[in-house]
Amino acid sequence: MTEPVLESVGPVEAAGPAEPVMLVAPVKPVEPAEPVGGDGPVGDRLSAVVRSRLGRSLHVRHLDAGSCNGCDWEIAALLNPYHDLQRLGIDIVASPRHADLLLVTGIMTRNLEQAARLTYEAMPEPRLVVAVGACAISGGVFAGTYAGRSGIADVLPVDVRVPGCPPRPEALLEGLLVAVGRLPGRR
Amino acid sequence: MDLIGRLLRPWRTGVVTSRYPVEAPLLEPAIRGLPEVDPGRCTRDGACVSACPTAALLLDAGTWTVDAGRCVFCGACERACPEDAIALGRQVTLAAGTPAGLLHVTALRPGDER
Repeated sequence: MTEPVLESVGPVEAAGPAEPVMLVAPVKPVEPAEPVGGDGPVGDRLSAVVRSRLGRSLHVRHLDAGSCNGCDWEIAALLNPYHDLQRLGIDIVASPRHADLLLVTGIMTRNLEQAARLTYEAMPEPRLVVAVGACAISGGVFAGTYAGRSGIADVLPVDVRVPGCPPRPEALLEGLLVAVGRLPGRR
Repeated sequence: MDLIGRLLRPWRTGVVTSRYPVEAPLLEPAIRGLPEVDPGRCTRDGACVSACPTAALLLDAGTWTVDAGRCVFCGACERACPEDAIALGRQVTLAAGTPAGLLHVTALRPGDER
């Protein structure tokens, strides 16, 4: 057996910084701070519009903004035969472009801020944002971390807050119904 | 193969789907809801406030406030209270439109509730 001859390939080219590949068109540079919109209870601002345009139907997009997946599992539990979200005319859809309401979980980490803004901008109006869980409302046990915001309200205009760690599926359902004004006397 | 039994199973099981917005939610015994304080037993020593990992509790002269948006329902306040005045309740549906709507205030002395 003859040993294979290793050919010299010459000096390896210095790998310079590769050109970044843009997967999405740059909509706008991410600005720190400066929330997209203000806080506002949906009961005042949007309820009439929402009810007239959506009727009894609601399409929901779930956005994970750095959660531990506890809230996400509870959202998944809404679809099981026991809670059966679809019996109320509510469904979870695969794109923000199809959605009326954004369910956001997690503290809004730095890495996901731009994704959250792009998701929100992709939604047609009227659009609603529901903050799910202690992290999305106040940062929860991660409040004050260097790696993200303390809650999503710094980045997205929150209409309804659903407390819990994680919230029960019933609590999530209540939050969705409050957001579209289907529970009398609540907003 | 118990074919008849299989065919009758849906009738025996009945409907399992929750009727939540119409009826109250069915909660297992282990479910932990919003912390509640017994104003008669509270001595306002602040053990719950220092035990809270997320600073969800606020104790001032006459009121005890829990911020549902910060509370993680861990039960540290319940364990820390030397008077056993705090217990995690059964209220889990707490959605609100504003941060102020998440504050649940209990008057420790009559007439102090805002």
